[in-house]
Amino acid sequence: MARTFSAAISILIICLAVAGCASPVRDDIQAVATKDPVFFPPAPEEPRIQFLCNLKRSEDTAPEAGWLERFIVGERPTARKTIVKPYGVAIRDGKVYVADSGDSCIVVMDMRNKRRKTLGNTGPGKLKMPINIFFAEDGLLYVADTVRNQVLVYRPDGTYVTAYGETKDFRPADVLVYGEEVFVLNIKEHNIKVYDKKTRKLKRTLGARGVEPGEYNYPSNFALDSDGHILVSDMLNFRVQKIDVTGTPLLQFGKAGDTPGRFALPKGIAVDREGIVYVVDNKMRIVKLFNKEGRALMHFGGAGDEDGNGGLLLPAQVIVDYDNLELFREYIAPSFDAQYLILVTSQYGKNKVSVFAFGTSKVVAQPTEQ
Amino acid sequence: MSRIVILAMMFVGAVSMASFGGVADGPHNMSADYDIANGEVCKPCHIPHGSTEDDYLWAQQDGVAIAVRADASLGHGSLLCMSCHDGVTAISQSDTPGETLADHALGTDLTKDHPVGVDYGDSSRRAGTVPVRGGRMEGILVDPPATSPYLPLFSHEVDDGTGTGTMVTEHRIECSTCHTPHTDADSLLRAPNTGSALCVACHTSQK
Ligand code: HEC
Ligand code: HEC
Ligand code: HEC
Ligand code: HEC
Repeated sequence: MARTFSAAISILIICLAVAGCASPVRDDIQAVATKDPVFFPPAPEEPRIQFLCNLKRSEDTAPEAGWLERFIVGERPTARKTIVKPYGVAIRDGKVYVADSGDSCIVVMDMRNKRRKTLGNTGPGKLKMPINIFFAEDGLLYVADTVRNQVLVYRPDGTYVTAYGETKDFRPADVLVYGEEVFVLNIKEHNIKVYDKKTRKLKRTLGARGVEPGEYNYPSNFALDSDGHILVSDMLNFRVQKIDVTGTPLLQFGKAGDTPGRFALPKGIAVDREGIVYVVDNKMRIVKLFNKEGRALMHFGGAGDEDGNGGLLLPAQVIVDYDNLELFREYIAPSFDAQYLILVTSQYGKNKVSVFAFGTSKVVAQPTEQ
Repeated sequence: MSRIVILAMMFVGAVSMASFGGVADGPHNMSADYDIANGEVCKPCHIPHGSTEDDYLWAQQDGVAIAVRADASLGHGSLLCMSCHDGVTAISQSDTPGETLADHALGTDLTKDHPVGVDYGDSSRRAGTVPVRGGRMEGILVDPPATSPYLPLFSHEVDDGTGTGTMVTEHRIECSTCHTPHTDADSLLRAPNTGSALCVACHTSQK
């Protein structure tokens, strides 16, 4: 079709491409919520968690391209439109950061102006398989990449700073920064490597493969609690371990199974300020809550991902956040007193980033029967 | 029934079972202590179903935990494989379950991007060529062999889309159609793919 116009069209395409690089294209982010609030645990239990919304790139929900756009740019490729295969997630200063392992970049969704951009997709800081991400107190973003086999560090604006990594037997699944030390969860050797933040030199190694306390079998994620202890999701030992920064084991809970206190496949982990531990059970499609002592409290999520009512499909990571609740105020039910946000990623399905809130019911007393 | 079989095998000592002992020698032996007799090797994929000895402190209604068990836990389809082949624990398999063939983006290495979670269809659907992105693929699909090599399809109940709530059974191709974890064969394949033998079991080479 229109072969004689092809030169003109090419120029048009180039213009469009250049414009596309210079500024983000029509980058509206969509938050999709249910009509009626969804609570966990379901009534008549006291609600503790409300599902707020699913976050999407605008293109996920964009209408079909018009004929003119199709004529000029051709069929838009479908493969890059959605968040492909997210794992880690972070939220800071009104922006949600999603590690898209399937698209080899970090997707940054600015919730205030509803714009999206990506970071880590060019130059020496180009990502290959970003898995977990962590914001240090100084505002630097740490990214664990299991194909580069390095931890990469960026400024929030996306500028690449530096990288950590061993040359062999190293596959960083997760990273966190505490004080002057950088902790890297090395799933290849089933241990934790601790680096000096200033010199980037390896200081010590915590744990080894095994089943005893302080030993790990495919540890996939870890999180820092407010006492400065580390909670490790010890995936194929089907348990959670609490250790101190020297690796001394303090607590273990869980074993293989599908009952409340057990795990089918624990992955992402988070801790709130009170010490409530959140653990993703990837195979059960839920997130479980435990108290400080490891007693199972409840779970949320479940099947039903297609309906977007808080369901999860191959959930990977969970985080809690106390600073950005305002961004989602409009989705919080009037009867619910929300205290902080919970974000969960799903690796498959339509809803890859789900937002929940933890809180209590405002109605204290049950209405009495007439 | 089948659960009982698995449990029995897990606890009786799977290593003596020729057909499942392969797990212990292969890449899927992920147990830290190689405790085969206690079913440690099988647990990553066959989770022991627990009794009701524990509960939730904040949700004590009967059935909350059990309901999740029944409908949420991943079956033996491709999702089970994806739960570990996530790019962290094991190499990522880039396929997306449930995608239709029309929007399935082909990778450069076909063998690693085979569509999964798709209905094999009835013989009328397979009579022509296979619809692929941007056209059709030459080669007729035949019924997968039920014996040698054994390439199983997995049944899955779906809504027939007529809005009447009628359920139909699809026979899907999943990771476990071509692979089986219970082997120590190369790439855990059910049959060697020498000369594309595995592929032509379903895709005949003629037009
Ligand atoms: C990597 C995952 C994986 C591991 C490890 C694994 N299996 Fe399986 N198993 C599967 C899948 C998937 C199926 C269903 C497809 C098939 O038959 O291959 C299955 C099916 C079975 C079945 C048939 C059950 C049925 O529903 O018909 C038995 C029995 C079984 N496995 C026993 C074992 C034993 C015993 C072990 C440990 C030595 C083991 N499996 C380890 C994934 C696994
Ligand atoms: C519990 C985690 C887990 C599950 C579930 C799992 N795998 Fe694996 N798989 C692994 C690990 C670990 C390896 C080792 C490779 C590596 O280190 O990347 C592996 C390796 C493999 C290999 C490469 C074999 C070789 O010869 O190198 C194949 C093929 C494979 N898996 C297929 C499957 C299929 C098919 C399923 C679903 C039935 C499945 N896996 C489920 C963890 C898993
Ligand atoms: C149509 C058959 C088919 C299906 C379906 C299929 N695979 Fe494979 N897969 C193969 C073949 C053939 C190879 C060997 C490729 C090679 O040797 O280069 C392979 C290779 C692999 C490997 C790499 C093994 C290695 O030795 O490096 C992994 C991992 C794997 N498959 C996992 C999966 C998972 C997970 C699924 C489901 C999402 C899946 N496969 C579905 C045929 C299939
Ligand atoms: C168990 C039967 C079976 C085997 C074995 C099999 N295929 Fe397929 N293949 C299918 C079916 C069914 C489809 C079409 C799926 C659909 O209609 O959505 C398909 C589709 C394809 C497509 C089109 C994919 C796309 O995304 O457009 C390619 C390419 C392909 N097969 C290659 C192979 C190769 C290479 C092998 C050997 C490694 C192989 N197949 C083995 C059943 C099989």
